[in-house]
Amino acid sequence: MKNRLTILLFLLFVFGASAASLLKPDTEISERENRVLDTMPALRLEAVLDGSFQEDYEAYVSDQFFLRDSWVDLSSGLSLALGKRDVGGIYVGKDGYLVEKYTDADFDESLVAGNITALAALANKLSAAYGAENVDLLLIPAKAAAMPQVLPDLASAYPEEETVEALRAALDCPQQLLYLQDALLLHAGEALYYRTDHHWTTLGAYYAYAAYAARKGFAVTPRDAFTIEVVAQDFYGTAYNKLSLPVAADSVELWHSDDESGITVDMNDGARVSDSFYFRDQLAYSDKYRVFLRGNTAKIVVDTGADTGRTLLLFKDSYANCFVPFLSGNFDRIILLDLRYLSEPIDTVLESYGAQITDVLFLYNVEKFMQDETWRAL
Amino acid sequence: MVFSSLLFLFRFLPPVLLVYFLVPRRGRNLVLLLASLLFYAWGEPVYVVLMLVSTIVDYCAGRAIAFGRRRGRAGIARVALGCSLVINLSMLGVMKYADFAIGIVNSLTPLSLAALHIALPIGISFYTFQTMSYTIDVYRGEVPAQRSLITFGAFVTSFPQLIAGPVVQYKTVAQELSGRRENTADFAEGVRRFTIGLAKKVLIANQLGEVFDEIAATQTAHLSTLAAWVGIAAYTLQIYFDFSGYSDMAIGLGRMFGFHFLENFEHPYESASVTEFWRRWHISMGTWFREYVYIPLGGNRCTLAKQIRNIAIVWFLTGLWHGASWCFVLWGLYYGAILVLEKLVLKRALRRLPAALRHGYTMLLVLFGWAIFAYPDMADGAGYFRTLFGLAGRGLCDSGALYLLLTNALLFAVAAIGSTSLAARAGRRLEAQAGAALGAAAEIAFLAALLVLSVACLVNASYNPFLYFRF
Repeated sequence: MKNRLTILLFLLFVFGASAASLLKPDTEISERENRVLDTMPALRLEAVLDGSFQEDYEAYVSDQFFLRDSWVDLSSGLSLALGKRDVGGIYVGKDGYLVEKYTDADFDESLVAGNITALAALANKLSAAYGAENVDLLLIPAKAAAMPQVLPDLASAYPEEETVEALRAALDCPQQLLYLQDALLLHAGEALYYRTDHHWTTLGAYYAYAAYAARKGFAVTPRDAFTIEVVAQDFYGTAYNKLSLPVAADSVELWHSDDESGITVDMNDGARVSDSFYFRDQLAYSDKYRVFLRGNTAKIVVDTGADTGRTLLLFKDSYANCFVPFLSGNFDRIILLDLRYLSEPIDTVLESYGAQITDVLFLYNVEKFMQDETWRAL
Repeated sequence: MVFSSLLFLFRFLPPVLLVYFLVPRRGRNLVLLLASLLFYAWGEPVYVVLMLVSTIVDYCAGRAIAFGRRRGRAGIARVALGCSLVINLSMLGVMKYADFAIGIVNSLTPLSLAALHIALPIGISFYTFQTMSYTIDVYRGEVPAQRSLITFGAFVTSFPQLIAGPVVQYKTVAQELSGRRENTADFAEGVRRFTIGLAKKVLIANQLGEVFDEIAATQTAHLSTLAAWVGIAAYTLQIYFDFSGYSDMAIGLGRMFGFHFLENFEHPYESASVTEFWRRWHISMGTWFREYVYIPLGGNRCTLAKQIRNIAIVWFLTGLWHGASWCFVLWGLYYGAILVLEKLVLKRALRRLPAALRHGYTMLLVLFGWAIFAYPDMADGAGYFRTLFGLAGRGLCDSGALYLLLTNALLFAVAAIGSTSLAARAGRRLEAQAGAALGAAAEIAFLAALLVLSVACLVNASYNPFLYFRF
């Protein structure tokens, strides 16, 4: 009797789940994981012989498994019940924060070393061209380093300061580098980063702007001079995509000031022109951070009409997208370059704008910079 | 294809079970053969040819040896056996050790030969050993040659044990190959073994693997001594749950199809000496080396010097069998040396120690063994050893190590207890006390929970590599 029941259980489970997974119609995208799911690969002889068909088919079976999200929840629930405090590269932090976990496994030492050399070389070259005092490098800590108080007990942030110091040492003018950790730690307890996304919030970017402005001798616009508009209250970001726990959604804030009126934003040499930093149509997507400058673009030229006589060349990653609006009163023109997407050589850009550039800023998140594959191609 | 995958569980196994049990008995070996070829070709669409060649060569060799023995012509038998051994060993040698040998030649001579970069065919170390055991046993007259190519093919390619063992010797399944009676009791036992093996692999080994991988990837400068110990403890438990879980799945699947494979693990981490450890760890491989290398060399029925030589040869080969790298040779010789020491000196001393110390001594040596084994690059391994002894790294203890230890404490505890016979004994006692009905209900609930949680982890994880795939 017991044997029969055991067999029945096994056969029901195996055949039942097989049938369920075969009968379920394929889904194209996963909202939760924010990615396109694998579909049935084409059966080709060469793909079978080199094994790629088999790999794709396995990925397809896994991606299209019935009740996929529920199985994944069960699995992370099990890990948490066993006492784990990080699952799938995300710490379950305090106060509803999901915090990216970085370890040495996430970085390739030689890539990091190469990136440091390449960035320092570019900064040194531009220092020679535009004056060392006009070049700044602002490095943005990861959420774990900026908000250590939300990490689980005993967990520590990745020692990203080693990379920061290595970069500082590679600069002809080490004082050009400002590591923003101290500026952000001053505001411990405030919502400097999104709970469910790896980016900083507009508030976090504001403190970085204040630090930069102080350094440049600009008057810092006080917080209460901005009109804060909440454009989304249902933002679940990249950390949530990796570990979907029932945490509160994030809000996305736009901080408006008079300086942003009358601006023009030109993307990729006229491919898209706008009169705002903000693209509200992007709020329809799950990645609501895209409201800032519509995600990542290779080259953006912002004309502000600020009449300061200054032009800023800004090398950036996505963290700069919510930071740039704060600079609209300080520069007539801001040229944003995202080297990950830029197809033309930097020198070509320098040739077209070189004469007007008065200031240069590098604004990068440390970890994304460490993983950036584009520097070695420069 | 690996057992612990959605593909195996929900695409491969159901139709194979269905067809196998629908087909009359005489057709079942053919079903098993075809299913096994598909199983293997899924992962090795090209090298499946190599396995077929090996099968046909050894089938013919077996027949020729039997012919020679029957006609009293020892020459024919000897030549046929020689062919089988040479072909199998050169296949294994070229596919697995060519680049290692080229590296040695390049370092010893002014030559600089180009590496061949041959991808190791899955399971080749296992199936070549199995087929060699067949021809040797036929030669020794321990077992008659198999007349049916299909039956022999079903033995060599049999998917339950094809990829990572156990190393099934032909003589142990010869009878079941031609006349087995699948039955409910065996199938149910197979289900239990398979489910437990799946859970050992997916729920424990893979999770421990994440802990070890994180620590192994950490630069020495970021690693504290405590973290290094946490790492090697994780690896020690991982490799047991990984490999014994695989063996459980293999034995369980075999049982479903009516085969009784010999046990491959007998709670090795309970051992009170290293000698005992190796009688309980990967038993099928140890048996193979004893029967086909150690005893033919003279075993322990010879002078002490020769005995030591024999042990050295066996353990050199055991190490090399685990991988084409000096680290594995070192690992094998490390154990060879300990076994000689235990034989000559320690055995008597150990007997006088309290049990706890004997277990501690054994586990410490096993732990160091895995620390050698885990680092095919010996320079990395040396750095790790220095950290273990506090000679390198970031101090004795740091919060990162404590974090890993505390957040994985329950996993470590479950794994440590699960690696002993404690859990199995407790389960049996509970069942005896609970009575038949309650016992059955508890077992069903337990197996169902393991299946559901394992599948949840499989859906969640692309993280599912088998440690023993390297062999």
